[in-house]
Amino acid sequence: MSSNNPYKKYFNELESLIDKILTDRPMNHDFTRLEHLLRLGGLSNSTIKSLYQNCGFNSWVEFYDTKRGICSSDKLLMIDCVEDKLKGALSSLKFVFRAKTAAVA
Amino acid sequence: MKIPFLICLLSLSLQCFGNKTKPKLVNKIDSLSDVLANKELEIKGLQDSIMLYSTKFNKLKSRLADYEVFKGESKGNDSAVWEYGSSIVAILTAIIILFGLVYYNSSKQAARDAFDDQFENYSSVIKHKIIQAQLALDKLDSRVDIIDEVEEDIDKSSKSIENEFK
Repeated sequence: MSSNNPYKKYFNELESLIDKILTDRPMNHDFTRLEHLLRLGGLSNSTIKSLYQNCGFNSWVEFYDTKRGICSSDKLLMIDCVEDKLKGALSSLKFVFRAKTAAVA
Repeated sequence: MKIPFLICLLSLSLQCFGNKTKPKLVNKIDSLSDVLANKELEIKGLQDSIMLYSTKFNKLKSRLADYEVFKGESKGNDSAVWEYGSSIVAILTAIIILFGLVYYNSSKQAARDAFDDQFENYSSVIKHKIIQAQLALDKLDSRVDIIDEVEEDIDKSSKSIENEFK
């Protein structure tokens, strides 16, 4: 039953993708896919960009390159900022779609 | 012829007279000689006494002079001791005051440094708390903005999700 739930599928993919970005080695297409999924969830392009721009990065690539070569506490704070915003976006989307997820399931 | 006879007679008479007065004269001379000897001894004794007293006097005079010198030197030493002592006291007082000033200034500086350090620590803690609060507020704002944005067009996004994840 749950495999037919599009919201579950959506959130499973979104969750695994965010987890890959946070803990693994994401590729460029992973960030493209992430933006697409967030856009599907209802986020505007400016909101999606704000996830990294408000933390001091100009792109997802710059964020990831910085994460791979952290060399200062300031950079660590910026990385944490983006990761917290990604987690926040996921939990916000889950909060908004909680009713639909439960109804379909 | 008469004159030589008279002379001879006179001399004979004088000789006869001398023979009579000689023992008295000798005795007198002897006694005078004894007296003179005694006087000489007395004079010599007096002279010795004078010499002795003179020596004693010279000794006393020398001791008096030494005493006067000693007294003068003592006065000089006393004044020197006073000057030296007062100088030492002045130097010690100056050193004590100097140490007091140094101790006061170092204590003041140490207290100021301790206050500055504590204030800097306190200030840095406050700054860190402010940064944490700002980050938390930013996260909260971000989540609220996302929720508001998604809820505005939830029907459209729901259809999009359902279409893509059938």
